[in-house]
Amino acid sequence: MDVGVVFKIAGIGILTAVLHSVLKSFGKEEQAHLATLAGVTVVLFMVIQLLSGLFDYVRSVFSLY
Amino acid sequence: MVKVTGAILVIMAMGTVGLVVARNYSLRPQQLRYLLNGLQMLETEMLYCLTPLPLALKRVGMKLPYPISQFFLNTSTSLTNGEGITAGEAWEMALGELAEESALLMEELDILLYFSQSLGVADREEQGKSLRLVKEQLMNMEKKAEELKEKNQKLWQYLGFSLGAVIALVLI
Repeated sequence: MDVGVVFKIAGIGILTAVLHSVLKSFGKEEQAHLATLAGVTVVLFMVIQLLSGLFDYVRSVFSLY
Repeated sequence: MVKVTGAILVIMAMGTVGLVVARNYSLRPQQLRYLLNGLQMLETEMLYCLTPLPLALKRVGMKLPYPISQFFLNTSTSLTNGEGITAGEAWEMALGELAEESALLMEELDILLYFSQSLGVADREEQGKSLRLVKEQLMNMEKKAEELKEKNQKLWQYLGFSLGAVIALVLI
């Protein structure tokens, strides 16, 4: 149970929210949405890596294919 | 331990970049105001005191702060050295250095470049008219620069540190 990754994802989530509100409060709506999308993409990549590890593990446990 | 130091360094570096960008935004209207002051003093010296151009430029340059002072003083020294260049050329040469040292943008420098063509060439009336035209245009730029500063200065201060934190988190 790799706690570090969870904290990383949480930290990026918080910072993306902060960046979104900072940009929005200065009137740059489009850049705010772009920043949120970028944050979501980064977190998505991390989650996909973890999912790939999970599938390999399940495969090795059940020796299915 | 090394990771933490690296993260702190990244955050500080990006924060500094953000602060520098914010500072440029706040320096620009200030330097435009000094430039306008300088042009006003130059107009007074030339039209009412009838001082010759190199001396007028030098006097104006000594009353202003850096980097605007450097601009006027450079023009003045190029003219007094007597290498046979026209006032317009001396103005343009000093303008090149001003472009590097100051926070002014291409638009203001273009306005000043346009003015160089009429410097020291026309008679008193024409000189006064072209000086007033340049001042009008620079006053418009100064208003716009002031608005930009209001909008962007704080933004970039926060943005620098936030981006640094994001990069540090991704890399840790």
